[in-house]
Amino acid sequence: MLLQLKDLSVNYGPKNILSSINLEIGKGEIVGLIGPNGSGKSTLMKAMVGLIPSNGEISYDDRPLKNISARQLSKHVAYMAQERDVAWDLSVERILALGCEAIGGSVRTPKHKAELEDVVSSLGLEPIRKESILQVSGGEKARALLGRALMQKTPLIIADEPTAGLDPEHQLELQEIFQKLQQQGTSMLVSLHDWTYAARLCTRLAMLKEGRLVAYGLPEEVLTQERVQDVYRVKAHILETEQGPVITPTTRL
Amino acid sequence: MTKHPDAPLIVILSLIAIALFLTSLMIGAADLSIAQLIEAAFASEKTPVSIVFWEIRVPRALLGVITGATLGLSGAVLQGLLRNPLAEPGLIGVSSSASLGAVIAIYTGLTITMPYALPAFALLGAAIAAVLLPMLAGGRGQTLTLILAGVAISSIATALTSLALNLSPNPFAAMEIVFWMLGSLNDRSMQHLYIIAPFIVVGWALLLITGKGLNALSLGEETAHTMGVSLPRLRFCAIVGTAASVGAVTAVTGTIGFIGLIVPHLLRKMVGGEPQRLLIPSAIAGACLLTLADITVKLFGPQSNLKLGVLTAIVGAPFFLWLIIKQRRALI
Amino acid sequence: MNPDLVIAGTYTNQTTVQMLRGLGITVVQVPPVRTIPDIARELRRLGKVLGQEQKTEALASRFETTVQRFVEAQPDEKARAGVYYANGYTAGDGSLVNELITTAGLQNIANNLGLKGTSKLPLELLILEDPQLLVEGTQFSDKPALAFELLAHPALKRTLGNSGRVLVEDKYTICGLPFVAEAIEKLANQSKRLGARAE
Repeated sequence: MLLQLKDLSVNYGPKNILSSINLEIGKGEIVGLIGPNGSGKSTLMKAMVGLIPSNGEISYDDRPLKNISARQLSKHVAYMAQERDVAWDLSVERILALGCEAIGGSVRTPKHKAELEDVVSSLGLEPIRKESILQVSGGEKARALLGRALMQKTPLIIADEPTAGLDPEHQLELQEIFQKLQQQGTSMLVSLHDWTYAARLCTRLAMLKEGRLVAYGLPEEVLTQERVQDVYRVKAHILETEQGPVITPTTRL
Repeated sequence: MTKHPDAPLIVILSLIAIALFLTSLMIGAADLSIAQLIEAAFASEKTPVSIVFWEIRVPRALLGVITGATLGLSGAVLQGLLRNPLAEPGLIGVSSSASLGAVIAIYTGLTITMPYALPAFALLGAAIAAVLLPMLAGGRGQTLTLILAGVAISSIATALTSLALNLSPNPFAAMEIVFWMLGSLNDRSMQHLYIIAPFIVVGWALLLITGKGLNALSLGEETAHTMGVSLPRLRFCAIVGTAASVGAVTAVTGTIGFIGLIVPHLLRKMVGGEPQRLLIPSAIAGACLLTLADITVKLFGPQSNLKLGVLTAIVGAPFFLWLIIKQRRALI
Repeated sequence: MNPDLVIAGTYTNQTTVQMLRGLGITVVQVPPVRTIPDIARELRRLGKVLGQEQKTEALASRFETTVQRFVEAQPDEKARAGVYYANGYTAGDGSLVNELITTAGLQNIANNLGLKGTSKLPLELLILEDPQLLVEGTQFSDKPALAFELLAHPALKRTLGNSGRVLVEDKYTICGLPFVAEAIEKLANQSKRLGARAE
């Protein structure tokens, strides 16, 4: 297993943010993490990469996280934070290079140079590779930051709301990229708000409610009328189509 | 490996630094010709000119280079660490706190028996400021809180320095607040350099190894952590490195502001915005700028009593204002 | 207290002086003494005013004799002495300390540089004059200040060696009274020592 969580819980003072989460992510999966605001999606992702302390067991490739140094961790998992603030006027190309340097590489070596070119072309970054990350559009920035994660050449990428703030076209663009990566063998854990999008993109969905994992399975198994009502407290209209279910919230309960 | 992309920049800056260093050696209160100085520099016997050269001009020029390099380098590191182009040892209160430490060490008489108490106390003062600052300003690098926290720390440190000087039984001490607030390289000696040297070496070493971590930190603390950067280690290197080196130079030159602000900003575009590539050029350019400022002070003549920090502030303060105006959108 | 006589400096507030005179009190104003002959002259003047002419005459002439003896003992080759006070101030022509130094048979570097009264002397210029003797003033406190750090500068140490410093306490350089002969003697001893080494 690339990532395994056993009985994971996170407490913030006396407050219980996450409790007894059990989750496994294998090779070639796209796992969608869904749940209402405040259900603990971001907290769970941060706990997974050791950004916040947790109880229970987190292991990558059967190695417990606590035995993995920060440097080694960067080879197991790449993380895209929800915050996409870049402090300096770096070029898109340099942003990608940072990912490579994180795992001890250098884009001045032929091997990594080739990897860089590969990422640039597969993410369609060629036209903006020399441009400043502070000047490009939201969609371009999201792709550039994803490119940085890809340059870490990890088997697993954890992305916190990668589609936030993107227009439909760029959301679909990102979906295609994720699916291409999946075909190449990279696994992903992404948190999402759009049920329809999640159902189409992901191989499995994990649904959180108030810090508990209430469902983990195939999208159509997880996104049922009863569960959506129970977890989100809204009524939804679920329409089965050839491209998968289209799920629209209709009324608040 | 291909050639380092910044090699031309570093070479050019180094040549300028060397030229300014030599120019600085040629200028002083006494009118000495180049021939006289060269002859004295290599004289086997001690002559008045050779003493002036080796004991007054060389230490002053060296101290200028070391101080400038320290301020430039630490400015670049602090900006990277705090993710803010307005971070600088002077503005965030590190320099004035170092001054406070040095003042306590000197005026209590501690340095008479223990010379190393001088840089050690300055380090302590600087470290307290550097640790307090992020606690006051918050870790997100917001300009407004950063500057407010810096102003608060500076004011407290300056007030306490003033108090310490006023409490000294030596009647001259109270007037020396000017030196501690505005800085000067006047009449410093090799002794000063020897005492601060170990602190400078350790400080620079710590600062120079922060580069890779600072690069990753461009993408935010969380992302940096997952890119193999140990944030506690990075903070330790940046803060202790700054405290040791800025503390040491401040202990012998007083507070000299704005070098660490101007230099990284001027160079940032040339190195593609990357914090790591900014470090060495900032150090060399800092040495250039401070030496240039000191040459100007010397050209004003010994009677003018112009302080080095006045000159750097005259250039630096408008620059600072300009940076704030540029950042105003982010401030609101 | 109703005094008969008040001795005031020339720098004493003139209003006060006028007021005292208006009250019928005799006020004698003594200027600050900046030269050796002034010392004897002012002494005699005071004696006259106080009606102690014999006593002051004895003091004054003894002082003059002492000074004369120092003047006669002056070596032909005069050693170079520099006055160096806190913050790099020196004293040249027009200061009492300059009188003491020259009377003792030393040449004052400040005069060679054309510096008059108390004025700033950059360390470089002092060193280039290659002083053999450094005349220092009282340090006001055992607690340090940067003002005095300059006096410990290695450039001075290398120029002067271990023995080239002499302390002339401020009382000798501020109050022009016959006891300044003690300071002249101290300086003359240094002058003799340096003269002897030169031979």
